[in-house]
Amino acid sequence: MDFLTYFVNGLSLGSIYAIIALGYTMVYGIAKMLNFAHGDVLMIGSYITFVFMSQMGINPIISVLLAAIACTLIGITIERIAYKPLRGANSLSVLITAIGVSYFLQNIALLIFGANTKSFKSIVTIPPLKLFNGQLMISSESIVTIALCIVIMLALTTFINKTKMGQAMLAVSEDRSASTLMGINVNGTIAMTFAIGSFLAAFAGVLLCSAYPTLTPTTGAMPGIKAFVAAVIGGIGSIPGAFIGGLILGVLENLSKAYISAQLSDAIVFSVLIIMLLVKPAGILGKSNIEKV
Amino acid sequence: MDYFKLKRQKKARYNLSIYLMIIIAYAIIMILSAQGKISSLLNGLLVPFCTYSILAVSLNLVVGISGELSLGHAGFMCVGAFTSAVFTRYMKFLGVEGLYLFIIAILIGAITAGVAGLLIGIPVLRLKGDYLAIVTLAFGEIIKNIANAIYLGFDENGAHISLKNTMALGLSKNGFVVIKGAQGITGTPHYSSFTAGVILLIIVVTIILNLVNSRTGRNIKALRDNRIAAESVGISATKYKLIAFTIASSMAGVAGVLYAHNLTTLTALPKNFGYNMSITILVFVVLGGMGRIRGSIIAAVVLTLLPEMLRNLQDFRMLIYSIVLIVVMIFTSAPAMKQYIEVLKNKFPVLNALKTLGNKKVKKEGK
Amino acid sequence: MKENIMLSVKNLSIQFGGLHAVENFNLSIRENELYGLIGPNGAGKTTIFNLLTGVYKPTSGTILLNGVNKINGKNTIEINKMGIARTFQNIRLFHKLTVHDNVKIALQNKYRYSTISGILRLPRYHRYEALMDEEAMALLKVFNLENDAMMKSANLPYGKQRKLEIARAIATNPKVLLLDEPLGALDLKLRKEMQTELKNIQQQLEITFVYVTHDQEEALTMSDVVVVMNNGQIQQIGSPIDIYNEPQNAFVADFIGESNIISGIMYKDYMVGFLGHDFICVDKGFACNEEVDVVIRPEDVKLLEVGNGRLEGVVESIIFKGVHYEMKVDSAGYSWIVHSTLPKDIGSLVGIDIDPNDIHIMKKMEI
Repeated sequence: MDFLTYFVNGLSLGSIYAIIALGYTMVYGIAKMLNFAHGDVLMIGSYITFVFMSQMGINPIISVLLAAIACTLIGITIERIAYKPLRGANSLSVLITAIGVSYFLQNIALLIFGANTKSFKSIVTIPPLKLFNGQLMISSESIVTIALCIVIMLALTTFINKTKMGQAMLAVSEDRSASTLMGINVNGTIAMTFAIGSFLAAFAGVLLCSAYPTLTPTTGAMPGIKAFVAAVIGGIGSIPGAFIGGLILGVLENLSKAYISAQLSDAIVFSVLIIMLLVKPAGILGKSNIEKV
Repeated sequence: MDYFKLKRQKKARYNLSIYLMIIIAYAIIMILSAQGKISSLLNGLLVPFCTYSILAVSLNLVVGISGELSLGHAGFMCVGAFTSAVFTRYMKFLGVEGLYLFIIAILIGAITAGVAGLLIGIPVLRLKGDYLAIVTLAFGEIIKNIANAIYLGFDENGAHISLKNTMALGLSKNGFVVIKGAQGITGTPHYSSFTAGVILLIIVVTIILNLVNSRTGRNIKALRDNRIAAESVGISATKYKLIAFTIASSMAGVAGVLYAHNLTTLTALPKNFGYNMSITILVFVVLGGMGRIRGSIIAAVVLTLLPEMLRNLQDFRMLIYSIVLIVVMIFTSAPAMKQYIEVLKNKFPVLNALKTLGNKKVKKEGK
Repeated sequence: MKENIMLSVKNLSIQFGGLHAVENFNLSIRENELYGLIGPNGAGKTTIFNLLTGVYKPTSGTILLNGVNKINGKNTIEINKMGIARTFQNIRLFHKLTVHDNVKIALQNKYRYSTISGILRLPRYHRYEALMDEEAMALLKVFNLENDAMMKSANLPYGKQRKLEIARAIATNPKVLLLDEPLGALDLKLRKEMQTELKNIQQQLEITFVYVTHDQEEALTMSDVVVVMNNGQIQQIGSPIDIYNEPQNAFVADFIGESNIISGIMYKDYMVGFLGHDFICVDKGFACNEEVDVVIRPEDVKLLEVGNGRLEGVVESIIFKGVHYEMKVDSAGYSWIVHSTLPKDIGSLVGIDIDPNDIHIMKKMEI
């Protein structure tokens, strides 16, 4: 039964990774950049929820939605100010800029909210689910997280495949210059991608802080990196890949924490990434491109 | 053949400028220090200047010269720091101390970090671009994680390693625990000094400059510019990328030795050996100019100094640092900005003179 | 003509998915000759080069260098060391390096010295660097690039970049040099100059050249042997004169020079019927009443006064082509392409006739 508990907790953590990974994978697929600051948008989202919910006493759901809207605006603003001028510059400059943005967000949070840890009150108030005569207890956070992740996944897939905007995103990810020639508003599409990614990041942040209720300015950094790892394992640029990669990573992390070593769990997770990339360099669902001579 | 003469002169002048810069800076600081005019803040930064310069110069070999994005450079620094500190700490326990141990420690740090670089490079260098970045980041984190979890002790039966706790080492009563898990190594002898740092920096710079201007360095640059063409003229991509990666790792190991022997307690924290550190080094390289050794050193020193200078701004200092970073990147790399600079140059020819002074690197980065 | 076989390719095939990119390719390449590999886009010319240089592994077949050394299965680097060098369809230079360094890099296998010698500046380094400098310069002189030696190769004009790429390939001291569209995208004048220059260089250096082009005129003027390819298969191998005068099938005839291809029936040896008339010809060996392709070159179609030829037609269009006029003449529903130095008015009625020697009979193409 212990195993099942760890497994379900892993799925829950993995779902959070998956939601964050979506933001990474979409931005990477469409803007071809590694948005290092994505994890920090998540942290900002958590702080905003914290302020609305715990300090102003607003209804949790409304707080989350407000935070999501705020994150969307922040995401678009970051893209406009920091990334858009660098479109067409070399990828390393863009990466360093993203790192700059990441530092910026962390330090803004430090300045506004201070360095001490905020204890985040879970937004989920329904009782936990008891199975097998109470031997297996699934926390309500896990249930909500997994359910929300599946809903987001389905909604996003539908959005990409069924709407004009989604199709434009696919087109831009295939060939940006051709898309421009076809009359697609590339800048708009990229901004939209950032908006969606940041919107989702707010949810991921709230879910993360509900499950692990400590909030500091660096809360988003490590989950951000791990979500990127998840996106790479699943095959970067692929939405189902982000989902699969996230779940694998979450389960793996929880199981290795439980059965091998709590201190080495990160090392184990990263080792899996390395082995994965060496065996299948494009990730589980990624497309590999062959260099043409 | 005045062409070769000209080319050699140009190269020699550039190399000389680097050495002169280091030596003059060293002389000024030594003179000021003798007069007691160095603040304790600056005094504390002298060894870190050298450590970060070595790290930046060596990472430049991978990122600038070899064209591979590595985010795990701090991991190799960690290897060098820990292996050398284990050696000197245990020697201290045995009652042996002396500066000659520092030289051995440097060799140990360089070799172990080099071997780590080689072992990691063999599987990893097949990957390209962002994938290589994420895998090197992962390796850096793994190294840091292991350094954090390891317990190492010695007794008359030799070395004992455990990942659990001190007790699990099973040392005899004469035994001595060198690495105590997350508490790291305490009581490392303080061998590092500004002079030692400057000497090491000069050695590292010489090795890298000589490498870059030799057959091996040219092959590495050829692979960066066009791998397929390089292979078509008989250059092995695996071999030369690995050489660059191994040498850079080894130099990072040397920086680690310098770092470890400047502190009494050595622990593997995210801020000294984590990916944040690797990123900081990468920022030095990018802002200093890809492939530019002198630039790397200047950037390392300025960007180490900057947050300290802003210290009285307290919480604002890292915020300002991050804004400076973003603004500099946009000003130096944004395509629109570059066009604007070109227009300005055409309007005011005086600006062209400025370009030869210092703006060269700005032009280079955008490529 | 020397009979030393330099490179022999037997039954070479490669498939991508289900597509036969190259099928049953057989070719023997003699020493010191210039081979022109010609065919439309997608004929498999570049694929042949990629197979010969180990970029792709063949599905089946063997490639032998000098009759003994097996090449297939080896990688690009080994193959280059065995003596095959190449250039690329899209120029692949080491664009951040100087023109001189580009060539010097290709000399690196001849003047090997270790990384350590380079870093420590051992005597071997100085000796070999000097030798490389001079040899690279000598080679640049052959290509008239010596004045651009210091320039960054990316800043060279396009034609010189092509030349530099060839010089670089030659620097690896190959026995066989594969040139992938070396004169592609050059303007006509430069193209003509380069044709002569390449031919001279080939004779001067005594290297076997194989080069790909889709310009038939270039292939005919430059090559000792022309190999015509289509859909991954060899259509014909022969001297330029043979290929032009005796094309083996209608594809070759049409590709090598624009031709009139008309369906006809071979009544018996030396007698063919087409467009409702019987013509005497010089071909034999076809089955009685076999359907054949009749190929007639535009310059062999004689335009006469009305009544003087066996066929009659109306001039539909006329274009001045520099030396000759190209006319389209409609005769009983077939539109002839005619090249002649004497223009005819549009709409005028003309007589048409063909010399028996100029009628080429070919087996029907299976399409």
